[in-house]
Amino acid sequence: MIGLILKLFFQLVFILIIAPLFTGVIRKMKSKVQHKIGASVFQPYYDLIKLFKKDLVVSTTSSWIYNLAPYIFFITSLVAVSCLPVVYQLTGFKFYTDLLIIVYLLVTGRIFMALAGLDTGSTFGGMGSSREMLVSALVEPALFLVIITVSARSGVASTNVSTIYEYAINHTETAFTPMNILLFFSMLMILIAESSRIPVDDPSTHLELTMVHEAMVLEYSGRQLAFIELGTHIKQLIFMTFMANILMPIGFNVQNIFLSLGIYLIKILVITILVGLVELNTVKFRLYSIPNFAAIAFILSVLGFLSCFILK
Amino acid sequence: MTANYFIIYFIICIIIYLIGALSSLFTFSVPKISNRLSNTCALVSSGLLSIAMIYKLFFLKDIPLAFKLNTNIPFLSLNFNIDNLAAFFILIITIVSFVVSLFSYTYMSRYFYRRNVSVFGCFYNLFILSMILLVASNNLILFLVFWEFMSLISYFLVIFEHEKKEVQRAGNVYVIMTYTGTAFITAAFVLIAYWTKSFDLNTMSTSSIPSNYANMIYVFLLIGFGTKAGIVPLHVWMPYAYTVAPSNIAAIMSGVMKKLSIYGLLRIVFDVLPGNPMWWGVLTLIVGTISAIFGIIYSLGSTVNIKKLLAYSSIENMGIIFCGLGMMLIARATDNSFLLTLAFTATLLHTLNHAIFKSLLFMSAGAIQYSAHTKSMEKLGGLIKKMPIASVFIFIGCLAISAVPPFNGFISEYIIFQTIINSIVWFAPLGRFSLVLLFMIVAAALALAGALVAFCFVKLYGISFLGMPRSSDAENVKEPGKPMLVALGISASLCLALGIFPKYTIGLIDNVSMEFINQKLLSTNWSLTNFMHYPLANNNLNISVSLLSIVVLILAGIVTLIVIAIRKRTSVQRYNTWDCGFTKLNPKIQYSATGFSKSIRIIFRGLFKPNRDLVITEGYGPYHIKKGTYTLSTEKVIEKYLYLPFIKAIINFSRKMRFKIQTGSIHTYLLYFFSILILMLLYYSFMA
Repeated sequence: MIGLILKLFFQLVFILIIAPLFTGVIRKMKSKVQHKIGASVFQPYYDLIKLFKKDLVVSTTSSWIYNLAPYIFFITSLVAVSCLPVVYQLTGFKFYTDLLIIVYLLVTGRIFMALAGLDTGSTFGGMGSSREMLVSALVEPALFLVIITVSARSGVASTNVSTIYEYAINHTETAFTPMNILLFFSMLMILIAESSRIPVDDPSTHLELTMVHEAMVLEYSGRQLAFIELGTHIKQLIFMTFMANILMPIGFNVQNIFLSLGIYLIKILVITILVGLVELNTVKFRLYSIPNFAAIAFILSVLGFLSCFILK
Repeated sequence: MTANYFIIYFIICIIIYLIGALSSLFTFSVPKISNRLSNTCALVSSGLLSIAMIYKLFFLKDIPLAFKLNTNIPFLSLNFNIDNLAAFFILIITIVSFVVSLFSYTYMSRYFYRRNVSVFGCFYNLFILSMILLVASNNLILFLVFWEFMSLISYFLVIFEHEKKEVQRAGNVYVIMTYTGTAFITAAFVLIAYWTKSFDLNTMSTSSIPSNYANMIYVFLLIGFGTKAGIVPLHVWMPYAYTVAPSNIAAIMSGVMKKLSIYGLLRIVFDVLPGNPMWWGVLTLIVGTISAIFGIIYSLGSTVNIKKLLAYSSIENMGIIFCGLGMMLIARATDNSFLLTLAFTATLLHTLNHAIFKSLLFMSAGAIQYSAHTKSMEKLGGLIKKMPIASVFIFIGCLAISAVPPFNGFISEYIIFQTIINSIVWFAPLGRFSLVLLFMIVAAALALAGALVAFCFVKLYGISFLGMPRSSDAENVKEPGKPMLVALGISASLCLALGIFPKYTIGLIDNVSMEFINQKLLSTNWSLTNFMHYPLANNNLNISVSLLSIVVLILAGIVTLIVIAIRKRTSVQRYNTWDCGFTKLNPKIQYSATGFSKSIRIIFRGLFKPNRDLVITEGYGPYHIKKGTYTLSTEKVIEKYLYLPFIKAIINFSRKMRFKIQTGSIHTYLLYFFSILILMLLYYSFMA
């Protein structure tokens, strides 16, 4: 019992510490390719510390939902990521770690953020909420198909994360099968959509009419904005951890926990570089081209499903 | 409590409903007293019956409760049988009617002295009574009698505000669709009785129905019960009827009356028809999936009226329940008992959960209409500050339907997805690839529907309750009265309780499924020391919402402590929302309900065919408009392209044939008599 609590605590602290680092890596990559020096890789940490020290300005139109939403978003992202242990040595608590729980916790966080966007009574908030709910609704079928394929491919129909991890660890020969590669790229597109990266949404834009996620949180300031940003970094890490531990089943047979943490970090870095490359080489799509993007992600996951079950 | 005491208790509750109906009718001169009498009797009787049904399902689960009153009417014996499935559905009826009766105390006060509240109270009690007796009846003719009672009384309740033209039109559509469905159900029952030689459910010889007749019976039942359940394409009456009905009737109709079609299908298909080919389940699954997608897209894209949004959302949830039913039939056709139990649990659990949160949502639409005198979301806004307590309960309803943990919608969505995953794992090694493809499409469709439900209820709650009031009606809103608040609170706390402790609900449904299909879902005996972990029958599904809630609460506590520690160094300043420095903030710059869902209308424009029309009355050219009218309209695709051509063809045909048959001359009428007489004489002389 104490061991489980310690594992959970270590997992949460580790995630909190490394989550903003990968956003910094993407930003540094973009600057370097554009021949700029760019901010340091640790800039997101400095931003968070600065935000915690700032005063809050709260709109008079808003209600308790506006004040509660950042904390609910942060806590649901944190609980969701605690369901995905970063290394195998940290698994052990299996009573609520379930892939469908992760999806529905993210839905909860998203609902609260969308309501907070509408709460301030500004146009940009409504626009951001509408677009955010649309984008997440369009990629949901692809996400569910990836989850169903991953949980059903072992022949045991279980969405429990421990069972899925065990299958991935015992079957490292599936790392480069077509099913895995198709699901990996489908998940990459879902990651881009859910963490608001180009081509779905530009995270560094200043034009409100082009924003999706930023427009929802336009009114937030101070520590509330810090919690939202931390929640966004953790949400990105959830999808990356899913991809690293389930869809890249290599390098698991290591006993030392620090070595396996290192391998995990290298895998996440590889995924981050992929996301950065996609960000550099595309532009932000029109809002009504996002259904095409989501459809391609869906087709990839359908092909992954078919190659797992039908084309054996 | 032996069976006899239970039956006497049941009959006493029926008599209390009748007392409520009659006493409300006799006190028609004082509407306040008649409202109170009818609602108190309904409340007391529903409360007593729900406690009795819970007692029956947990403690009397193996004891049959049947009673019979003999009459001399041929084919009709008043034969009632409350087995576990019937007890479950009576439980749903009585919980919802308990809460809605409490709600109606203050809700009907808007109608005092303007309409006949005492007749409403009488019909209300008779409506609930007919539904309970429908579920308890053991005879097909009795089932039909109570089905017709229920439909007729609900028609009168729906057209309560009958002097408005739109209400009359809605009533016409409703009654035509309902009676068409009833005709199909009657045809199916007559066929069943012809082959099994009996109308009583416990004396039927169920194995003598030949298979092509069984197929026809199933299609008739699907059409008949599907009309009442509101699956696509038989759903066209629902937006009309639910928009014009008073909100308490809409709550009962949506929460309970549609579930009776599920009861009818379960009872007839599983108790009467012996086995089923695979295509029954596949057809039900496809119909359910199409209803789910269609319902939620229409709910999102074409509604500004709160009750119409909730009506289409009911279509979506009934689609999900029909998906569960389809998976049950597929499992039964392949003799897989684990899948059958799982699908059965999913169907019944979603039935119960939907009844609770949909009645909560319709009551909240009623509370909004009562306080703000408007049903349109475009005129609301900022209600969260004016009715703080009610808005918390309504928020819980919106969260429950969007399947947010820890509310009850999440549990039923979870079990439905587990059913789909288990079906895929079962059918893939057997080589039934078309079924695996079908399940994949169903899973993707249900995932899309689930995400769009969240979108839809963010729109409902966000536009109506948050932001600034968009009209003077919304500015003058006050908190609704105490009975309404208590009713909303009871439903909301039921949503929360059923979500955090799903084990008790699943245990209850297990008692139903033990009797119905001889299988159980929960494998271990759960006790208080083991409340955190309860594996399902194949030891592969464990989820503990209680433990999840505990982890969330602990993390919330830690975050709160951190925030309290650091908040002393910063100050909080209240200021206006950022308006870009251009205009003063007014409610018109906020997003409207139409604008919020515009993206869905554009993406799914094949289903909506949106049409924009700008008529310039003053001004010249497209860039200098002084006054104009802008109209945005969507179409109801199924009504326009499926029903309207059919109706026009019938009307044209009858208009042409009318003058050829009813010529107005007495000679042709005499010729009709004479020729029929000759034909009958010839028939009997050759056939006898």
